[in-house]
Amino acid sequence: MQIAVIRFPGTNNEYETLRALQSFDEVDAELLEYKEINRVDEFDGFWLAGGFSFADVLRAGAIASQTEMITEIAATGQPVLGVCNGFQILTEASLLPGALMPNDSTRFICKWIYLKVSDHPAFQEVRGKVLKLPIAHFEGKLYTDELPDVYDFVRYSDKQGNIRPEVNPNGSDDNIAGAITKNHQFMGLMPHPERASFKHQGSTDGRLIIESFLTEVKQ
Amino acid sequence: MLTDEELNTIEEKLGRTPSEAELATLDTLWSEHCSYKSSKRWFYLFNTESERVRLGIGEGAGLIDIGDDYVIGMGLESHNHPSAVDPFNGAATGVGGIIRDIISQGCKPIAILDCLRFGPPTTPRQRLLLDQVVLGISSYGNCVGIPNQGGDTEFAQEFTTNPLVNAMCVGVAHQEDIIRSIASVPGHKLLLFGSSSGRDGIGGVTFASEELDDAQQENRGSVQIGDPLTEKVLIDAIIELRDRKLLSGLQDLGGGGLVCAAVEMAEKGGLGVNLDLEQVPLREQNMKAWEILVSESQERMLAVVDPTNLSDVKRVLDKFDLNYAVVGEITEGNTFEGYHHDELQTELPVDFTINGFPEPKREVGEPLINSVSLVPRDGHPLEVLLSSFNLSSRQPIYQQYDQHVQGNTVIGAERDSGVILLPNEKYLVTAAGTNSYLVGVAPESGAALATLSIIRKVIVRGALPIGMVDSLNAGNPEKPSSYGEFVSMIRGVATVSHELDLPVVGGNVSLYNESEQNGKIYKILPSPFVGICGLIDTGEPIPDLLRDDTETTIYILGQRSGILKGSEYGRYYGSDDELKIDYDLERECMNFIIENNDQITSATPIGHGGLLGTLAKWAIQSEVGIELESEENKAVLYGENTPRYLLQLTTSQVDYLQQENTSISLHKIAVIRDDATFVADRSWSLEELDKIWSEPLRTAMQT
Repeated sequence: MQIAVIRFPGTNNEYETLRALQSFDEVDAELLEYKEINRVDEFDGFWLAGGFSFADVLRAGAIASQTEMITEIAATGQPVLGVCNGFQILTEASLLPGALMPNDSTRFICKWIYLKVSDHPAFQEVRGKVLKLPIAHFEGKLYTDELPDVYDFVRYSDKQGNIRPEVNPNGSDDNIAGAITKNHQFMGLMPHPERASFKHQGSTDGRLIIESFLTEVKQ
Repeated sequence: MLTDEELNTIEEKLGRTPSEAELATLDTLWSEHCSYKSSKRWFYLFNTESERVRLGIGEGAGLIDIGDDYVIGMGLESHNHPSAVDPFNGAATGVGGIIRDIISQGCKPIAILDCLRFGPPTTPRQRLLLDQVVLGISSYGNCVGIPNQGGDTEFAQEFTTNPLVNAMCVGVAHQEDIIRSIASVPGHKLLLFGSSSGRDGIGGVTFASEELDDAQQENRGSVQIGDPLTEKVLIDAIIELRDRKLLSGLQDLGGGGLVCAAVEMAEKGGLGVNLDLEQVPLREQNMKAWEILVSESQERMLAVVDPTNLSDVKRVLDKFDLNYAVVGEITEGNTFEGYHHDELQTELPVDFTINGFPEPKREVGEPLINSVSLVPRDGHPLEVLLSSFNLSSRQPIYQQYDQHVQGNTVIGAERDSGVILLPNEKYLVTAAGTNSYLVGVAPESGAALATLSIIRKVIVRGALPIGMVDSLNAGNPEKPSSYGEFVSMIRGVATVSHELDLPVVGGNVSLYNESEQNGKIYKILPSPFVGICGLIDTGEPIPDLLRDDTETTIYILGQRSGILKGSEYGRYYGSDDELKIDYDLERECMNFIIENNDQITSATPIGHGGLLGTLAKWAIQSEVGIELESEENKAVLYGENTPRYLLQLTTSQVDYLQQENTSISLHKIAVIRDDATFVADRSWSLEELDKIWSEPLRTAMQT
């Protein structure tokens, strides 16, 4: 299957994302520059990689969310995974609800965290598991009145999978670290599965999340 | 500012009065920062050669062969004065500058480390400096997308008025993709690309070559403003230009701006250069010729391009939406001609512009350092040490840096050294820092021992140290005692480079870190930062954290005892021993660890806080309980600065190591406990120790 990793000026997780995707046999992944909207039809799925699109001026992801590329990929109906800045772009584009606000500490946070996976149908293989992934963001606190058409599928937890306020790194509502729309098209995630995909990185739990995304792409 | 002697030399050479633009050019290129006029004469002391060195001191980065046709590029620079005046922008642009030095050589940046010095973070001013410097590094480095691999941070009264901000960057390139900062063919064009030029940073190098004084606020215009997005796009564009072999030479516009990059590249090629200053894209109106020449606006690169490649280069830069302009040409001969509005503004011999300064007389006096001792609070010495600002957890700092971007990080910033997986499937181990208090206690032997302590952090992962860069921070070289300190520390670092066969491939000198306020002199502790790169050629890195396994035992490898003089313990409680260096044992331990990297369960070097401090930090970070086996004297418990490492070994590993290596000594010192406690002459829960260790900086930084 053909997956596009989309690069805006300031995207900086593009190469590790490509490497992680390419390590799956069935995947053919390549970089798609944000201006190359005429190529959108070539792909079966899209990954909005992390970084600082357009230097995050205004708000994180705000400028990128208004580009034609986002409108075009949304129109394809194919699955879109937004990681970190990609998640911020999806909330700014109102494709996922809520807003990602600055962390409670008002500082960038880089650390390893644990995630508890929910029983959402998109994650049958990893349902209920506890995963170890790194986070690295300034704006990761999801704020929302309610989650009408979406499902939170991973939450910050302790090593044992208990979802406690003490292990919430950024003040996110209900410890939410990732969300997915009901129709499974848009999936947003603050932690970085592409940085937990190989043995040398210290965890390969991210592969399980990527596999779930690929299952969606196949369907 | 040019001295009277320098002005006389210029008038004599030219046979006329220099123009405004010529004066600005020479003032810039002859500044301490660009010319190294007080320091260069000592560089002969360094060991600069090894079989691996591909490019030594002299360009943006030193290049070292790591096998499989790959090289790494490494550089280390200071940005002290700008950070004192404007901590956020000063620190951010310091990071930006060293990254551009690495990409100038065609290397993709893969690691950043930084060495920071502040006054104790107990006053609002020092907390602000710490907070803003860390924020500056974090906002720039994270945005550009280079993982942070550590470095060091220390606090001492001596840095209250002169904080230090030094940044290191490491990059990697395929051998055939290396770019040099040389212009070697007449007729090649000079292409300026990246940001436009403004008045920011004008006089930056002169500013960096003077003492800060009460009027430092007025120098805010000498600080540059950074734009990390442009820097990230610059890296992407240069990688593409590099891969397509479109560049004949490249240098970043750092200290000294356009004139420095253009004239330095011409001088290295033994050629002349013409600049047409009207072509330079400007962001401010009515800039004069001299201002355009020496502007230090950030995120600008000067490329040497063969005219036949020019249209291809422009196409790549267009793709990345980067500004560019052809601003000059390399010429036959030896003249730097600068034009503005068709008028000749400069006509200077190139070699004279770089090297023509009269070497200033400097007197090497006796070092005069009064290293301040500290008064311990009540309590067990371990608690006093763990809660001291110098030993306490750096988590509140490192947590603000992206340590995993690029996906190659094996170990991040919070342990002894960083580890990164290289494109040839080998591992790069990096560490940077010094021990300013120790250097203050004894500038020459202290500099050597502090350098060894950083090298041990690399060795302990099982890596062979292959390259060193240094950044020597000292006081005013015009004062004999300060200059004496500088010369002593350069000798200390240089001796280590010879003794351990570790070539120095680049560096930086920052002088004038001395200031006068209300008639009182404030001078930094001399700080010879070193950045070390090590290579793990075969096998995996030795684990940095303890394995939770009561069947294993902890041994001291090397010297059983440490030295209290110059140690953190000595700083609080005094000492009556002397510094000693044992290069033979340093080498023996190094070879032992590297040869046996697959026979060690985990390891850490005994550093700040001595045996007990190191064991406690190891236990806290590993979340594994430890019990000290026997009663020991103070030098064993708290001494530092001897070749000693802690190794966690299984019984079979011990048997193997003792059979294979009869000469090396392993002393059993501690066992692993099955509960989360730390037991020495009293016992603590790990939670309790963690709180003591984590609290000080967390409070100071309010995180």
